[in-house]
Amino acid sequence: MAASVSFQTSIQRVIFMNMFWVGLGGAAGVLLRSAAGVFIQSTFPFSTLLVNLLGSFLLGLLSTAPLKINGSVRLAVTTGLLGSFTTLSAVSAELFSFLREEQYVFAILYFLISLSGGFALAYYGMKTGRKAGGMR
Amino acid sequence: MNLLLLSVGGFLGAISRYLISSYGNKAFPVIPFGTLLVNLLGSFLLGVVIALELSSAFNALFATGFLGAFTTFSTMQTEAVKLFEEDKRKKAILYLLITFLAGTAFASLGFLVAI
Repeated sequence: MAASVSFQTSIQRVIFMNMFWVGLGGAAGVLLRSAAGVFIQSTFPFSTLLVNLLGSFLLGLLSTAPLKINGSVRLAVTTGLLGSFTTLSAVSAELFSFLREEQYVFAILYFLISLSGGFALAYYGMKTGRKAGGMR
Repeated sequence: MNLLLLSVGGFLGAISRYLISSYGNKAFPVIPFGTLLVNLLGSFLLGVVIALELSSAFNALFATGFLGAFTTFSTMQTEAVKLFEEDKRKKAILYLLITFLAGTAFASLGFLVAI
């Protein structure tokens, strides 16, 4: 009985620490995304597009590259930082805004570039990460 | 002040996503349901927030910070690539299309409900 209780609390401690690391990475990711937004200002959402494409490549790379890093740091950088650096809600709002302003060409362009560009870069990132593993 | 609000929003948004998506992705393993759920819910709430035209401090905390971190693009794309590589190609394409189209629809819905 006592053993199962202490087992439960140690799992709870792991979940709590994981939450903390994800949160820490998340805060850093938001600050980096905001910085990109300050430097890149235009009517077309280039800033969101850039962070999303870059973040997809990096997450793909880190999810397959055989890096010897601590599990907590990995969680902070992948789920936390890169998960929060990139964003889907802004894309949805930007697409809605294009539709509302009847800028259908921009809406379709933004939709297609985000969907296929993000996919291609995540794919390329994962492939690059595996190749780096094969070279060792 | 804004940096603090952005960080607090990002901290809480990322943790909320982590909790919801890790349970949701296990609960319904056909497509990454947890990630889809946070992305659609976050898009709806961002539509609401835009319609309400709140202060820039609130937007830093909740829109750019919390909702920006709560929803994710990179995780969705790597999940789609994994589906694609498992030869679930239709599912991968469907997952991306549903996220983008329903995401935009939910943002519109949130905006129209709140305005």
